[in-house]
Amino acid sequence: MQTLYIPFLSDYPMILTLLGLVFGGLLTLLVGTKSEKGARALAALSLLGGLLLNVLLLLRVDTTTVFHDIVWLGSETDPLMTLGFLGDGLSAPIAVLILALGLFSVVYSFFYMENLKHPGLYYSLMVWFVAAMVGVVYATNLLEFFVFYELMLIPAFVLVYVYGVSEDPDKRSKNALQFWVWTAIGAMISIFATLFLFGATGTFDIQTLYTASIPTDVAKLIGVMFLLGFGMKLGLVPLHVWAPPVYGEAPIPVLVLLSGAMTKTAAYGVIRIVIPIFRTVLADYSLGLMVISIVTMFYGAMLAIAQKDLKMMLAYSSISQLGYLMLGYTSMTLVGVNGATFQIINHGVLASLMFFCAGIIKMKTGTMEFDKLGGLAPKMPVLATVFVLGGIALAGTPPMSAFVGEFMIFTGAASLAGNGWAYVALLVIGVMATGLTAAYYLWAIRRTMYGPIPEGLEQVSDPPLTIIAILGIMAFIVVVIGIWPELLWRYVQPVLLAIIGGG
Amino acid sequence: MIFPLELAAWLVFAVPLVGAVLTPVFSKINGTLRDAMAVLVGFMTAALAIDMVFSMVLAPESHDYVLLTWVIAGSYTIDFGVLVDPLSVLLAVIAGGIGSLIILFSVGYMTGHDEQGNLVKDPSLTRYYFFMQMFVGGMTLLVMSDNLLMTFIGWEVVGMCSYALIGFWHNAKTPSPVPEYKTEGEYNSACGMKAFMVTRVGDIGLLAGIVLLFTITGTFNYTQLQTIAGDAVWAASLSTLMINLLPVVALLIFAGPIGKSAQFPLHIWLPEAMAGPTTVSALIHAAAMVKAGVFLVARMTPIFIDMVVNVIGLTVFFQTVAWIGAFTAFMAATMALVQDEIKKVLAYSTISQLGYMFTALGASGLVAESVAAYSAGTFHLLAHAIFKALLFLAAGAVLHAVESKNMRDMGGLWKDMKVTAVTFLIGALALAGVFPTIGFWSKEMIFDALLEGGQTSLFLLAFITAILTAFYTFRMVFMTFFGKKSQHIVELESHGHHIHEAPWSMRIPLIILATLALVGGIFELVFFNAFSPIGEGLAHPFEWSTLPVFALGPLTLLTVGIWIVGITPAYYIYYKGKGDFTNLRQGPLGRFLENRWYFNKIFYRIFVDGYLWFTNGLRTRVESGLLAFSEATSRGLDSVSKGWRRTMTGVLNTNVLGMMLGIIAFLLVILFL
Repeated sequence: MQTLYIPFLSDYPMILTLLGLVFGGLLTLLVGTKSEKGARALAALSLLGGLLLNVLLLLRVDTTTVFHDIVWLGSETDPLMTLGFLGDGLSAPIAVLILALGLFSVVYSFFYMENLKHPGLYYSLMVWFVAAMVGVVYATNLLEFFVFYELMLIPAFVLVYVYGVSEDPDKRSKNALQFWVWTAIGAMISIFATLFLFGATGTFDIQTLYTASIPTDVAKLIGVMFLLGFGMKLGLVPLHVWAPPVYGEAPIPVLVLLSGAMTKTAAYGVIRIVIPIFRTVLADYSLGLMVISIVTMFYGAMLAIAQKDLKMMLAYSSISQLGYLMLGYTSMTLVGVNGATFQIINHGVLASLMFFCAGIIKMKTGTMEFDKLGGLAPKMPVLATVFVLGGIALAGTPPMSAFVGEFMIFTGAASLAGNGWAYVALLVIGVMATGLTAAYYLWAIRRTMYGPIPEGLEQVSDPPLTIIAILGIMAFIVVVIGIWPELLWRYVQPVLLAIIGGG
Repeated sequence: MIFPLELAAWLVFAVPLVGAVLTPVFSKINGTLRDAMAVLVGFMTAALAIDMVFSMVLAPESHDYVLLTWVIAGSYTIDFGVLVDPLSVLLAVIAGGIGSLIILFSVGYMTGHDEQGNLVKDPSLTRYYFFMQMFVGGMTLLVMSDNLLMTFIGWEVVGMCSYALIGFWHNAKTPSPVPEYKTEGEYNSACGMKAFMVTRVGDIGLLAGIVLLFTITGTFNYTQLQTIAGDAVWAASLSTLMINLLPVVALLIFAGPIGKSAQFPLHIWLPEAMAGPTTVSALIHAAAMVKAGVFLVARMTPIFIDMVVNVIGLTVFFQTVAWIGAFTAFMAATMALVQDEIKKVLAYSTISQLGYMFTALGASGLVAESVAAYSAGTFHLLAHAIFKALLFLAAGAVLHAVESKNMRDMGGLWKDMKVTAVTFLIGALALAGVFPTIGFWSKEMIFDALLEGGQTSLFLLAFITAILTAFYTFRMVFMTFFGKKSQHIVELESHGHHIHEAPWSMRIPLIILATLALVGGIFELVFFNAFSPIGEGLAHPFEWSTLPVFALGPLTLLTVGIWIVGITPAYYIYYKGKGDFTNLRQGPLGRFLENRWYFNKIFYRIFVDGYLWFTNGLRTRVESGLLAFSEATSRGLDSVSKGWRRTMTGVLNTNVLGMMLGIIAFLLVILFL
């Protein structure tokens, strides 16, 4: 493929993105005190700039990797901490995903977040939140990784605390606090693991760690600690307890970033750090880890169907979907981890798509409770089409993108079948979750879209064109990747092959 | 023939899929253009499929064409390709040919009357034609595919289309036929969802089976599977676990067809699938969807037949297929006896006839004359596709005229709808297996294969089912077209509504299908003879068959006799009105049959109500506890931080900064120690 190359911009896309977002956010904050319109424009522009830079990056990493390293702490020759930026086939697609979701959420907020208190604060926090997440994805150094990883909690916490949907500030603080405490604990466990790892190997550099030799029992401990720490952020059952309150509290655009993007940084951490370094030692635990993933898949799906509210249903669906992701990486096979990477992108797009749809329903009807909804399809044909497409896609139906990911995840799990009947049983049980997923999505679609329309909702109409465009782009991506997974595969596969190896 | 075979094989599913995608574009230009394009796409698909038949007849071999590499994972490559062999071509002809006739029929059928009595088109026709073409495209993709993965993709596309089309009239305002729902729209969408969910249960097994089979064999490709299936060296290299796993995998794969083809115990969705437009029912029953399951079993059977030599446990697969088929055939036939809705009778008859196909296919792995049983099963698939499409479309014409689904609202339609009545009668004769219709030949082949193969108990069950079939089929014919006009029709006519014959766009498909059903037996003599070694086509060089076509014997007489045994009582009860069966009907047996052996109720109680009850308990008991724990923990930590706040920084957010500083300090300590 003929790649587009623009000097300077293509050379330093990652550093420019971060600088742009940090200063863009600052400008947003300053302008926002005077004009909401200015804040909106600046936030959207910074994110759009970042997105375009990362698209440039994506076009380059097809054939090469982009890498910059700035020594930050320690001596020049043997640095303790570097500020590294790595753009390769694994980080670039995820950075594009995060920036695109950031841009979409900000644009969506123009319509969704009415009567905003301190618009400058809101929009700048959104930009900084994205900046921190993108930083995590670029990081080449464990310390750097966790600095960004911790930094992103701050805007996320403030966004939930200040802009939460509850009227009562105590309730907002209670919900935001749970999120804060649990994810901070998760991050702390990961940081301790990092320090142990440093103790064992004397380096924080991820690339060096791939080949470092670590005593098996130490490696086991550190690997499990990492998985636990990342698992908390991913919201694996029973460590998911922070997720429902904060998902319920966050307004839709923030929720999209939390669920669609933030949890993905933890998944990225697992795929970038834990699996390549520890996969041989962790293979001993794969049965137990697979059980946890399947419990997460089932528990999330079962609670999703028990919800009375579309938003909470989607929140639990998110938990369940991340269980699939974990099943992919716990198989520790190339195809399984590939599936997990696909699932990062798929779930990032699809969960966000569904949250956006739920937000529009809320905007138009004033409610997200199933009992008060129904028969919206004839009133909102475009939204209904996208909503049904997203629901069916999340249920793992080809030719949509989620199927490709799930298929690879299950192939990865199946390749362990030779280890014993327990693995066979786990695989079959795991596939059952796709049935449960279909059940709650189809039921939700039926209760919101079909049948008689409740009184008072006769005047409901499709959302504004800008939002339709956002939904259209996302739905398009879902279908295109589903039909032609090679588009994503060509970036992800070589990197994973290099860091995990064949087989 | 006209088209290169490879091109035709790709286009046959690409055309309808692209047609589906273009439907919204055409609808923006003009509604009539959209309808015309849909019909054109349908007939192009049919033409491509029929063209492949001629190519196959002229040069009978199977080809595997690979277009592109889809995925490379480690040592595996997964290619996307098409497999052109008699089986795939046969199914493509059924999907394309019958699908195109159904789309043509839709042009006339999907119109209605508004309150002023003017002819209006259904407002959601874009959605309708989109999914109809997608349906045909998904089905042809499924059958042309050369590997299990692509088949699965087509399989799910078909399932998705069935969901969308069964629930097509999701906002109908008329009262619901069952009390659980408020409007018919709500009922329809629930039926669509039921179809998707029940078939999804089977798909779970199928997907698990596919990936496990891939783990064992390292390939999804049918030809490669066939090659290694008979390879004793390969079989010897398998571990004991894998050898024991193979029968399980075969059964898991069979779960897919059980769901898709509505076999026991996943047969419960098909009767509800009648909620969609009748054209959709026809497509589901005759051309696409339920035929997919039979196709997959037919596709896998030769592979497993070769494999059973090395993996003896696989016999259980064939036994399961045959017995589930035979049992389902019988069960569904008994249910059909008491249905009052014409489409419901047809639905149960489909379940029952599919059971025959599975019986024959399963038997092919149990009897010495594999090819005979296998051919019988696939020929019955063709026969059923023709006569069931005919019956559904004719029934659709009746519903269109009478505006009711219930046979008790019909009666005496013979005079007003001669074309519909005659074509329906031909279809019914074929379903009942009366000489010389196509149904007679296919059933006779199945009986012959079962009896010759020594499968006496399967034969007996199939034979009893055939008698029941003849009975309920003619019960339906007599109730609909003969006897006195019902109260409903008299009322309609008093309002000035005349029962009229269907328009030409609806009559032409009926006449074509009726002709095929009447003289289709000839396929067994000419066309099918070329196709009969389907079962061997994959593994062995293609040969023109030397199967004995028709031998008059006691079995033939028996088959001829079926309809006399079955139709005579139907004639006396439903035409002459002899006998009073109210008591029997309302007795325990009648209720048992009417409630579909109570399977539906029991399944709902367990898997819907039970599941919801369980999940609700999980929410109110387990999850609420976990959330309370989380809240308590964070509150506890908060009070600690509040304690700090008095003496130290004050803002909670700065904790993170503190933590960071702490970590860096800790690091420095490590460094300098």
